[in-house]
Amino acid sequence: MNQSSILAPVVVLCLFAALLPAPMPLPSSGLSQEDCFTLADTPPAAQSHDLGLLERCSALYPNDVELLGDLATAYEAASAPSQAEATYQRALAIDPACAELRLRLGRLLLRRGAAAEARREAALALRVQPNRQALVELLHASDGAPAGASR
Amino acid sequence: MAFASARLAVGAFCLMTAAYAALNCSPFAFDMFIRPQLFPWVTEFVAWHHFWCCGAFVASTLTLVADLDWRIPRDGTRKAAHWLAVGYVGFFGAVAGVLVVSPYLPRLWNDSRALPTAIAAFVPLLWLAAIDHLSAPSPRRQHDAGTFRVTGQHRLLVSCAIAAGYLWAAHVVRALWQSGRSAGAIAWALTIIWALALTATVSALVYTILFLKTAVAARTRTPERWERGLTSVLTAAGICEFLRRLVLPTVSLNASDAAWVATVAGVSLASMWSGLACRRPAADPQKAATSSERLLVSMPGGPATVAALLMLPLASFWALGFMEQLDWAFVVQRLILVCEGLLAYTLVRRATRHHVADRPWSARATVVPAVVALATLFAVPHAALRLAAWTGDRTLEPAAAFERYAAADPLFKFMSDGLVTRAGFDGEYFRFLQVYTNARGASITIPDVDLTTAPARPAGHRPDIFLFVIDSLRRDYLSPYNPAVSFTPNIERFASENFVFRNVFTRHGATQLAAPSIWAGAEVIRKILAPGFERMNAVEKLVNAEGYRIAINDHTVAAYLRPTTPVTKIDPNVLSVDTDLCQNLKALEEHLDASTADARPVFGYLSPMNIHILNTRRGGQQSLDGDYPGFYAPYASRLRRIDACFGNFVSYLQQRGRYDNSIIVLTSDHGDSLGENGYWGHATWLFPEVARLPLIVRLPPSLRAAVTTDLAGVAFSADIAPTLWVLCARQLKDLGPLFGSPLFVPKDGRLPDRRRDSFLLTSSYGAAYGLLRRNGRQLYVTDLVERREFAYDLSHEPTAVPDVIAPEVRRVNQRSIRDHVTKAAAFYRFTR
Repeated sequence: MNQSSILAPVVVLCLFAALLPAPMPLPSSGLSQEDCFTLADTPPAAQSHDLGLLERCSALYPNDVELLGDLATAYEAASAPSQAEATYQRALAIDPACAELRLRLGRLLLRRGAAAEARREAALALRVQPNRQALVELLHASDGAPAGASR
Repeated sequence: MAFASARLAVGAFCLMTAAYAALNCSPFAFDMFIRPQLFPWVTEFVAWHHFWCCGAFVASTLTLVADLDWRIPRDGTRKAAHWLAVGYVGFFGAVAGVLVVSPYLPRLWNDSRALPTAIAAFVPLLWLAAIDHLSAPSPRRQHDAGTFRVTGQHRLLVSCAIAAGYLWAAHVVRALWQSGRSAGAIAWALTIIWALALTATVSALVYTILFLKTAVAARTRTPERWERGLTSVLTAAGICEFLRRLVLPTVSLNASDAAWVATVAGVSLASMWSGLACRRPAADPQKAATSSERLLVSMPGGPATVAALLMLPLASFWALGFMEQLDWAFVVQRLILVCEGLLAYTLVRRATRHHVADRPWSARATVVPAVVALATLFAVPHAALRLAAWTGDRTLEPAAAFERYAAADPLFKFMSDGLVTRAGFDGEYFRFLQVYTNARGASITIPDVDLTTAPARPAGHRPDIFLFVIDSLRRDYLSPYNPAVSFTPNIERFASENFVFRNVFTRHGATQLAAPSIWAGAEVIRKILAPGFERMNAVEKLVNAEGYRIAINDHTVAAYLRPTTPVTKIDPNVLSVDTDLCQNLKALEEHLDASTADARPVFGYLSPMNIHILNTRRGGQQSLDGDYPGFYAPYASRLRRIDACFGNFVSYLQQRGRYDNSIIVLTSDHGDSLGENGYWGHATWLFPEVARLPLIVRLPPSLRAAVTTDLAGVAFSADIAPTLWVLCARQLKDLGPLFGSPLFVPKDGRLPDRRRDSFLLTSSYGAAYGLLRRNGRQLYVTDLVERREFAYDLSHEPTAVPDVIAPEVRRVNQRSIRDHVTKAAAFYRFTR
């Protein structure tokens, strides 16, 4: 064996050292953004309710329930109740146990006169948050009964 | 044969002594294994260590009889070997004598003596190896004489390739057989090709290293000595790296201690093996073609080798299957795979010895195998990714597809863990976490915390409180959480009348931190269980403030209760591993019946280990009473028994009229992995099945009507303590995110909104950190033991599958974990 017999495996070992460990390739969506991922970390009161940003981010993270809830609230603030209702429904399809969203949806439904649907939302929410005063009030309001009565 | 057996016995003794001392180096291993005397055979070994030491000394001395014989004339190295042997007998004879008079190992503790002891335990092996090497025949210049030749390149290549192909094929067949190709043919085909690429890469790497070794040896004037020496160096490095990277981190040994122990162990074991090989006479010097073959295990040739080769995978599969549930963080399974690989290589080399002719050295034969293997390794995942994008089939995405396959093929998992890195691996971040995990000499200051400042209520009626923390209880093995479960009817009935919290987690995997977290009502950190824990023991403070008396069976927190706290221990003489809920409840009932004259309310706390993995694996992992399709029968059958006893206790309370005056909490300290993705147990990881908990709460009717709760909101076992304070009509202070929140508030009160908060989860024992976000839907895990990260979407039940981690997800979670760890360290005044 000559000197190359040592040089060749050394070169190959350098190749291994340079290339390993091999990276696992990821699908590149080209859409993901850190700002959107963390947008709903901020409580809604502190947000500017930038409707465009919320819409864009909801498209990036369509399963983020909190983001959808904020978007629905922003639609309500922008006097777009039908879009708000649809967005609440989308959020609740992902997380049916979110009583807070049901309460907000129920109130929205009640405002547009859909008392039976509002009642249904209140009843569903009460299964998750039994006794909660705000839900009991919504239930009674949708029944047309005076609020504040015990359940 | 007798010589080798004696030496192996001495080696085993030294290794066990070193392993025991190394476990003492780690605060975690010491608290987990050594102090509770978890394994009786270890306790026996330690108690009789001086006796075993004498046995090892006698056995090793017998192997030195020839070297000690003063009548034999010697010169040169053999004379040195003689005097070393005399020194060995004198020195270690004295050591054995001292140990008999004053046994040392039983007095070893988690202190500064542990590491030197672990290192010193290898000294006899090094000493014996030196004697073996010096007493061996002087190496002849066989290269010059033409009787020695280094291992040929072609034979190396053929042996590595055949061994790799054989192992790949055997493990693929096993994986197909076990998993039933549920992922689809294309995903399977891609994964199998990638498994081949991984195996080929490992094989090419081994081949290149071995060839470099022989090439260097061939260029020297004493090739046999060089080849043997380099082989020993490689062996030492291999053992060292295996211990340093794969074994010692799993017992949380810090990096510098691990490096010391691993280096000394690698050098000692390789020297021992090399020394034994020196002693082994070559049956036919002409046939002992190469030096490295003399270092390999002696094997008969011909059909016996082929038969051994055929049996090898079967033996390996049996061993892997046997160890799957008993293993600790895959350590033994990885060792089995390494042994399988070495044996396969040895046998193939033996089998092809007379069939593969050597050829002249070739640069192409050096470079091409590595290039082809690496090219395939890189190309297959990219091809899979493109195929996934083209077909829209996400199951073809490499990260997900390979993860699935890894659960069925431990060889694939082992290789891909070593050869593939997940995107965004950040060494600095990992080092940051390591500092807060197992820093030697680190200390904390346990703060004095009161959850409430409100004055005590006037003496009056208090409900009894019964807190059942079933060790390792999984929520999906209870019918209130999983309709497929039919073996917990009593718990189902209990749940139907009470509050079933659906989104509950532990802040800590494993009991050592999970239990203190429940009592403190907070996230805790390592070293919290120490004198001073009572300063933040919220449950104990409640007990004393509200005039309760404790009836407890617990082996984690009970030892740290104040001496003045009124405590009755239930089944105090039962070892922790033997604690049984049925026996505990019977004893608790007897205690309640015997103390009816005591007007103080009772705080009952039981933490039985019926379904802990230590018990489900005992008795051969057998079911107690038949099959449980879809469930792990040894676990489910024991849970059925627990359910019956729990139902009986509820009936007892009803009969005694105490039921409607009791707060009853049924939960667990953590869950358990029962084979998900090949994982068993809960010690060093934070997978969803370990982090999620059941939590069912019964309140007395008067309390129930006055409160509201959020059964779907994210909750923690650390919320139990503040909840009990609130149920005792106390106002809580806002202590920040480290502390739990009450599960119940007055019905017109404001429920804590934690949907947008993030929560740190940590393992009690291993270096694993998790971050829970978005009301418990997102779990991100950094596992420093496996040097991997996982992201789960927990809204998909029952089994969560790790998601592909997008860069922003990694950045946000890593940043948040850092932030949480820093805040917790500041709160507990962590110093190192």
